[in-house]
Amino acid sequence: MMVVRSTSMEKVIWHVRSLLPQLESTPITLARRQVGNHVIGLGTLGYLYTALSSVLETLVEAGKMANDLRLKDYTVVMGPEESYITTTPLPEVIPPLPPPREVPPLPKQSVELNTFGCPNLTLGMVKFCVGDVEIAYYLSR
Amino acid sequence: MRTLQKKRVAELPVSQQIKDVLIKVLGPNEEVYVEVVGGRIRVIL
Repeated sequence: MMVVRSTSMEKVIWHVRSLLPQLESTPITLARRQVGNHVIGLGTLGYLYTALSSVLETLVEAGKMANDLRLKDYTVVMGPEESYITTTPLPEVIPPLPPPREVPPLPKQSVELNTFGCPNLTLGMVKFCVGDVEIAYYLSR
Repeated sequence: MRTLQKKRVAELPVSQQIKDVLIKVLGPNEEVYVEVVGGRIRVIL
């Protein structure tokens, strides 16, 4: 259950939106283990990702709807089953969210050609070098 | 201008060490092309 006042909408939307890439860049499941009737995903962030995505979607849609209805002061109540907008000012219920942090960019793939000891590459040839001698053959086309 | 010379492996103007390997792999009578590129010897198989 989450209750968000219109005044905090922008802030919460921004916060949740900035948390999603962090979850996205984390491996979803490392292993699954059954404990009694429960399947526990070790390292699982999938449920959290789904929950936060749905919170974000609801908040954005609620904001649009409130705008369409020309509501200035409102409260969005998000429950497990359904969500609604009310003009009654309700106290906010926002779970503590981790502070957003920069997601380090994925390392670029680097391509290194093996020149097999040669100081350069020759178009159309495969070669390797021993000292000043190049042993080469043409690539078939 | 590119100058390619046809040579038998046994006659290659390269060090004996390299020649020995090529002789083992290709045989002494196998013909290969040789050219000089920027002071380096290129053996084209």
